[in-house]
Amino acid sequence: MVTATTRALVFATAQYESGDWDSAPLVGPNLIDSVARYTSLRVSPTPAIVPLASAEVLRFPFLFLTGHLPVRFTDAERANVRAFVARGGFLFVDDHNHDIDGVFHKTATEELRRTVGPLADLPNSHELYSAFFHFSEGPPTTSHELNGWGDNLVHEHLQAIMVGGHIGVLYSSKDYSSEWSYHPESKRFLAIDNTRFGVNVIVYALTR
Amino acid sequence: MPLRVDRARVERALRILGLAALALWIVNAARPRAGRVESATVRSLPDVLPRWTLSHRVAGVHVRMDTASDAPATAWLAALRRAGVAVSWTGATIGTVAIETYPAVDPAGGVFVLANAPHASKRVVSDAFGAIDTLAAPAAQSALRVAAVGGDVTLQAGAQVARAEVAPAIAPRRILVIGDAGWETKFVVAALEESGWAVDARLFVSPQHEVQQGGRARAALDTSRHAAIVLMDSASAERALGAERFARAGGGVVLAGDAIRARRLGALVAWRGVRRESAPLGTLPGDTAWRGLSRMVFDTIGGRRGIVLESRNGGAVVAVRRHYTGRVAVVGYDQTWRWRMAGGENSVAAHRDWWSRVVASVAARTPTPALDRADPTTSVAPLATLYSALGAPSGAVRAGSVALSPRATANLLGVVLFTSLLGEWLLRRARGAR
Repeated sequence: MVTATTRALVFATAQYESGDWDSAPLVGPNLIDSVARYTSLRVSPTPAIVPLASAEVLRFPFLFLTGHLPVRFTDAERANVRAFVARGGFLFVDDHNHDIDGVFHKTATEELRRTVGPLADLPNSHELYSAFFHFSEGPPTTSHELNGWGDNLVHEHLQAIMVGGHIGVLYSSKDYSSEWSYHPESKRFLAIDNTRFGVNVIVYALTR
Repeated sequence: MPLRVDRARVERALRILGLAALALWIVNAARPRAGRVESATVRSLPDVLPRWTLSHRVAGVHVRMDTASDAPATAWLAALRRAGVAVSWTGATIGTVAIETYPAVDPAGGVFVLANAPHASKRVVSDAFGAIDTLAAPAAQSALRVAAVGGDVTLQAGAQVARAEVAPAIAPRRILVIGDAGWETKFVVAALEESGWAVDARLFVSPQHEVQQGGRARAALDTSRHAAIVLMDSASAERALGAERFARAGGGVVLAGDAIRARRLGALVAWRGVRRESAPLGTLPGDTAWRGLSRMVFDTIGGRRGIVLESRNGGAVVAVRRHYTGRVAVVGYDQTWRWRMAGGENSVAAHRDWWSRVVASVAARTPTPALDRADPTTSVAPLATLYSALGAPSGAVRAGSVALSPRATANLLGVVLFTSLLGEWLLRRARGAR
């Protein structure tokens, strides 16, 4: 149970009314494990789920939103997302389909454009890629991009909506939701921890 | 025969007396005439000062004041004194009216106005555009912060007017924020940047990794680079080398959250953290009694002085003190980001303004160009100017120590001369001589 007054970072997943918001339940615990493993940041061991239509969303400045299905925000969700970003929150949206023309991509990007503003490619030299670990070639590829699933593309860039010079909304078509969906204990089987980029995203959100 | 001899002596004495009176009469006629002493009230000075200046017969002036003369009149009286006219004044009941202005150390600008006036009088602060405010506080001193002023700022209290020029504002130096990476540090940096401060930051992510913002984040603390530093927690405060020296040199230090517990900063603080309080269930994040949902409460360390700016439930939450030429503020609120994120509609602006004011209250003041205070038509403190120009009040001056006026002296000498010569002549006639 995450208390609303904790001073620790809480990894919160956005619960929206349309689509399958809970398609990647292991991403939260896995990234929490990575943050605790590599940094000295205070992080809550338990992730939170927060309804996007609730004002509670403003108590969690880092929000993760994913899914496979079409995304249509309600008016309340749209208002909250707008306020969340305007006040300095960081919304990380990942397309669980890793499709360039998938329904999630089309609807989520359109919804974000209506709610916050248009997405633009994020340069691979952006400080996001050096916020903690260094990714000199930009966003790390995922196994789903490389094995021919989905649109059979390696997406060169992430996209973002900048607010006041900082990333307010980070959008990924790379399907990190699948890439990071495993139990943290299984990291020991990896030669290189593939959640390290997730640490960068969280550190960036906390420091910029 | 003896009678004849006596008469000759008397004649000789009368002649000498007559000649002496004649000599004195000539000396008296040749001596410069001593002028008269005039007096006036302060309200009639504009009328009498030109006459006093042009008349050669005025040797001294005395002014009865129920209010301090204005700066031009005071300067005029001082000039009369330098020209040889004895000037005195009395006015035991004059109230002290004074005004001072200085630019706020804030990127948003603004001017602080410090005013002092007897509270019984109507007190109005104004600038070239009109009245700014009236001082309603019962105390004699008042402080105002004005966003912008045009021309000089004046304080009118009764008939007295104090006037102060306003130094041009200069952009303050940079702010350095040091803290663990977290929401509180992030949003404090954001609030200060949005307020217009140039912010350097060091945010610690792990013992080996810190995120730096701004080119001077790692430079040694120095008031030539930074106006203030904000230490967000005790661990980060321990890493801030030279914070005490920075404050001693005039820099501002803000200790947020539990930064007050850093042993390195022991010399800076006058308070110790007593307890950390969490807001009761149901407290709104925008509740300014909490400015978030938790706070550290401080208690004063004996023997060290400071001013509590905000207190809750009997404990200090925001306080400030001087440390040599610098200032140190402690802020007990440690989750103000919740106030900004989850407060009401204006919470972002309120959070931004509040943090900017906290930092501005301690930030080192950038030297401003010296104002030309030679203008004799203005005075920031008319009574002080009066003392400086004319000295302390005293009784009315006298024209001199001569008991008789020159005319009366001349008349008296004339009578003596005439009488002595007449006496001598009669005596001479009486003995038959011519």
